[in-house]
Amino acid sequence: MIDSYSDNLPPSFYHILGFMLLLLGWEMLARNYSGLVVAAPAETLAALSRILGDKTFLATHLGPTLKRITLSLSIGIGSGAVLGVLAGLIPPLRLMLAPIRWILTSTPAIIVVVVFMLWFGMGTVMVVSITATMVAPIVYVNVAESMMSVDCNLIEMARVYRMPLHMRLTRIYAMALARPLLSAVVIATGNCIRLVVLAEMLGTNEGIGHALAISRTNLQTENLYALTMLAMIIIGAVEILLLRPARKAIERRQA
Amino acid sequence: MKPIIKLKNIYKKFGTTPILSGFNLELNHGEVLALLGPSGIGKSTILRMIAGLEKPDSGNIELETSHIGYVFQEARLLPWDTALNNVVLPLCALGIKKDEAIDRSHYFLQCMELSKFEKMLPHQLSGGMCQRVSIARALAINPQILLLDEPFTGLDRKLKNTMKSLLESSLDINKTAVIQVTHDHSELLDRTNKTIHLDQQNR
Repeated sequence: MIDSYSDNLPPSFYHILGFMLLLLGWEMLARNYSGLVVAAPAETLAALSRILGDKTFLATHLGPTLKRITLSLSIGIGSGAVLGVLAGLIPPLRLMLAPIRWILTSTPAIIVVVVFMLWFGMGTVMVVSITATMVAPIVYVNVAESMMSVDCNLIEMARVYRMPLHMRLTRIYAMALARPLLSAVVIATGNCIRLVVLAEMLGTNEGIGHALAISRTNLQTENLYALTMLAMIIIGAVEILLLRPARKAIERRQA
Repeated sequence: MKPIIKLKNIYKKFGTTPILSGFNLELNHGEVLALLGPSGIGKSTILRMIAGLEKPDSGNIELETSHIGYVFQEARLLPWDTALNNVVLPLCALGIKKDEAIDRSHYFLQCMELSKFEKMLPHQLSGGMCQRVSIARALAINPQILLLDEPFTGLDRKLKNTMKSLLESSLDINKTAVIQVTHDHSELLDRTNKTIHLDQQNR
């Protein structure tokens, strides 16, 4: 039965259907509750349009948030990937990093936010440090485990033909790591944006998180919803514009 | 003339099981040696030690060259690279310029009758074709030593014969020393001029 549906209708149909049902549910909730609790979809869209048309908001809030996301992702993914590669190549290093990895993956994000606020004060350094620190272990774990599962037959072949380290890294390890690394980056990106907003909410004077905190304080519920939607749009844009093309390129390469 | 491969008094054990005990071997340029014997007797271990993939527990291995071609039992091709790139890569690792590496790879893939399949990925090729790519890869580096570890295992008789003749016609007769590991006499290269039967006495 399920097969016959999926044969007749494209997957996008179900995506749109799910989205429409979500909107319908949201609209029904908004009609049944006060606007202070649930902003209506139309009000939220209007607020979003107003926010995006406001140059001051773009410069004061959206710009800094995007900068922090970019910095956090670059540092988090970069350090996680480098440490993962090293841990895969040097087993004692993997064992040495295990306690740090365990602490970072098991500590609730809010505790890290509070501790880093004490260490770094308010502002971009604190936000980027928190986010990069929490993103790096996700990438590290995926990369380190994938390094250990690289086909050892290929590594032996590379040794026999005296392939230099850079060639092994780029032609064997990187290719074998591409898919799991991308999966890690997808998860890391979502986490990163959430963490940046959370850290901004608690400890900065600009950024989407800070704007969210102001909207909450002033009970501007439609702004609160619009800013949440903006954060989701950023995640969606990164997914559609960067990660999907990268995944397709890897799939084409590894077909 | 100094032998190109000299193994002297090699001892090797895995865990507590001795695999080789006082094994000796000398091979000159152009000689073709067949290592025969049942499975698990240490034939592949000898090749792996010559290729530097294993170290002996004691004894000496002297090689006059580092140009070693190795045809493994499985093709061991990079699954994300085309047949051509799989042959080109070891040449680039030797420092050969890319254009020359590509030309040489074309030639050896042609020798293996794979010209039409150069752009294909390993999963698009049959097992026999992959093994021929792996032979082309080994020959393209112009090896002074060629190690063949049961390269025809799992292939049908006709394909075995085809691959044998392709391999023999591509070998540099005067230079390349060949060690072929097999337990099947029908797989031996025609120009085999030395044979060692490994048995329990080598342990």
